[in-house]
Amino acid sequence: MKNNFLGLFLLIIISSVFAQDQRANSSFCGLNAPQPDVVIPSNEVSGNYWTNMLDDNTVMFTAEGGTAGEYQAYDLLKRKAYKLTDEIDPFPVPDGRRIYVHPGPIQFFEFDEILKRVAQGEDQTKLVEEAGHSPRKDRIKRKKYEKYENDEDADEDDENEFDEKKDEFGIEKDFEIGDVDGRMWGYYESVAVLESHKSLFKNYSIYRILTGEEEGTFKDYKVKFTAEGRIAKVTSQSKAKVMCPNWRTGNTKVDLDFDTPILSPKGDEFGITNRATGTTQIIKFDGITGHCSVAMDLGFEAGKIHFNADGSKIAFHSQNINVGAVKSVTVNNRGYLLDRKSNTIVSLQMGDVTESTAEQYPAFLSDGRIIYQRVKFNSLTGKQSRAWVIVDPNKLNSAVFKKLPNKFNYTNDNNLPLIALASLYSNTCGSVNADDSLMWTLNMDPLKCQNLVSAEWENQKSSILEKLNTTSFPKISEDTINKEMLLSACPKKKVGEIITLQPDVGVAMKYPAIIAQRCVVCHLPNSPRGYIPFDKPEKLRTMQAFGKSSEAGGPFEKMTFTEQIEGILNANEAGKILPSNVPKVPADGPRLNRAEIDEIINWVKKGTEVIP
Amino acid sequence: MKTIALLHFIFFFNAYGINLPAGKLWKCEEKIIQILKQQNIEINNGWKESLQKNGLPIFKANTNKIAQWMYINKSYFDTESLVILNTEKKIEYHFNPLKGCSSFVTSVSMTQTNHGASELSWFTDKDLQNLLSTKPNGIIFVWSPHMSLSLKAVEELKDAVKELNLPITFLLDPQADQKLSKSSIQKYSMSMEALKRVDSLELSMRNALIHFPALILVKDGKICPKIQRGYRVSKKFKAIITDIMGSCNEK
Repeated sequence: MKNNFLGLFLLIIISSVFAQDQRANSSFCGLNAPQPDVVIPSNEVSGNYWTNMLDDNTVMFTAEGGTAGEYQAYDLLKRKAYKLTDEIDPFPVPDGRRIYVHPGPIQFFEFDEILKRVAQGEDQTKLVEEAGHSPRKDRIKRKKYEKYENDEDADEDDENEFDEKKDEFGIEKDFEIGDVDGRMWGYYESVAVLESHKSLFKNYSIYRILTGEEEGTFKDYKVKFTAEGRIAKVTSQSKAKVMCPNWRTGNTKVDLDFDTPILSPKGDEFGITNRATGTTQIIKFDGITGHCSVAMDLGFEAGKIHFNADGSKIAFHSQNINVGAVKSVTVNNRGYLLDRKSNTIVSLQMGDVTESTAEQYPAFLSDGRIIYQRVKFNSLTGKQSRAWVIVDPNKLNSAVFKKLPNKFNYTNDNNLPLIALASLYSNTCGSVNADDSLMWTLNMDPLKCQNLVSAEWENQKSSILEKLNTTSFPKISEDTINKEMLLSACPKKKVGEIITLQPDVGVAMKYPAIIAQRCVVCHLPNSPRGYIPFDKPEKLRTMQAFGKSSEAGGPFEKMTFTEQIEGILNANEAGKILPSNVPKVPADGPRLNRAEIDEIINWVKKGTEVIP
Repeated sequence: MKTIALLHFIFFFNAYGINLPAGKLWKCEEKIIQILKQQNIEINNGWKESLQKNGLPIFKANTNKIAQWMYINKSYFDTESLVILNTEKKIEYHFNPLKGCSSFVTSVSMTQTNHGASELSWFTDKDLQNLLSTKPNGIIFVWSPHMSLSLKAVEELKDAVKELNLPITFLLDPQADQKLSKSSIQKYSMSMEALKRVDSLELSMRNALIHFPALILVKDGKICPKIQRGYRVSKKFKAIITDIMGSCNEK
């Protein structure tokens, strides 16, 4: 009996404490995180992780786990899936024509026509063979080859005879079934729009297609349309060419370490994962020669990237390390958006910032919003649930800036109230991962934040300052941080408006644009052309010349690096004839003019200049 | 004075041969390197940049021991952290550049994912160590039923390794749906072993799960740093495997 009373007493105490916490939580706690525009629930998401958009409402994907894959489309408005042709990974053209490209022998398919024919019961595999549009010459080649291939009575003599007749048929010696121009066959196809005319008298598009064949092969096609938008004729605009012949060493089978290539919608760049550097790179290339130069090295490895319409932004997922996890390290794919103009990276995570999910293969809609697959997994039951999520990057409050190539310029005393606010929120409402603290404070409910600071700061400030100073913030005292500062740090804007952190330009060295664009980009750590320590200018000034041109007998023998680079750049000046024993620098892009050379040499000599 | 400077130089830097990435940014570089030296930790294959959840960078490196990794990052207000972790514990060193790089250390035991109650099977770092010793030359192929080309690649890969005589260990996307995974291994004639899900710190930290399929090569009991992503036809798989094996020991 006594024990029962004790138990009841304890229960009341616990309940009252819990109730108090609940009241505190309702007044002070709770986030105001922006919500996704659209979430299609998991029971309707059946396709592969990787998807693509035919238009803003139609997702194209491969049905997962199929023996040969199967193209499908999902209408986000009607919430309905449709079967298409039978293959893997469709890629729609990015000019709104409602056609898509097929892997294997490159063909164009009319989305609505295929949809209709499949609905009428036509065989999907047969449609692959019969309903595709490709240049006539390519079809003739393929049919001749297929006829030979399908001849069951063909023996070795016939094979030899066919090989001899390849020239006569206009077929290249190494032609294999499905080949066009001997090379345009393959997976990881993607499409760019070089021209698109939609008037009555001029109704055609010129598309550039990149495939993964030979680690990157491209070709241009002209597709003429009828007034009704049907494909009238497809012709070749160029021969198939391998990407980056200037980087190949002759053994085209393996001499480029490119994985998962994808073309920009404008067709002048493509993204790859570089096996050699272990990083994701954006490669600029010449549409005539295929010659390549590195436009941007992300510095880390991302999943397959997706360009927006003008190529100024890319969306991707990357394997994220959650350093804040106390007893385990969680590694998850998370979605990010990189703005190439401002060199900023924003996390795509929306909703509850504490949520542990994967966000994979983000892709742009035409209005700049992003669709990705959100994946949750139950490690006990083995059940996976997924959703298609559409987010508007303009509504992301968790905007944390990252400047490339400078990594750490987000530190600033202006952020001090935000840190203190995070600590106050953590003390009152539950544990906050220190590394996520700014994300939390930026996502706090404005009114609740004001309530929290007003009610709790005076009570808790001593313990918070002590805690912060113990760990890492020696500057903080009651003189440097006060209630008003915390109140002013509370979010005031409505969800959907961007709050940005103020970068501290004094923390990290900034390169002048010419150094960043023409020097650093090719000589980052692990770069194929070798690392040059532009991030350590004092080392740059004292180091010795290196490379072949500095060896005995070379033009820069026994020189310093400063002397060497001066000599190399002077010899490389636009308009001059480059001596054979001096390397071409920069290896890619236009040659440097006198003013640019002087700017680089001056910077290398002075070294530590910081650009405000 | 010169002697002291020389000793300082040798002690902290060149004798140990470790540099931190983007070195100028690390105000406590000397202390960080000193700790690595004290613990006899070497860096394999250099530092690799990765992203934190909030989009900020972090640098990671694998060490001279399997499933022992470290990462360094800067936090707000210039705090610099070195984390050394393995499957048993995680030690975090926090340095304060504003107080002469004074530091404090936290150490926690690592918890293993709860695998017991489920019908799922997992491939842990222990399994990886066992694989490296029993099959010192071979292929690890990470697949997912949610990426159809990773299934289509299975036959091509099997064909590619016929002449190379390398054993293949198929490992599953850790987040794959179990029912779909089971039906997929039947269709593609893979053994039940192919249902083992990656739960390896070593493979995860090597970005093995960023895209499926992922082809990881093992040579002389060591994992090759280059990982190949995506589908290839058999002759291309063969060429890439030969290439990666050939450059496996390069740093």
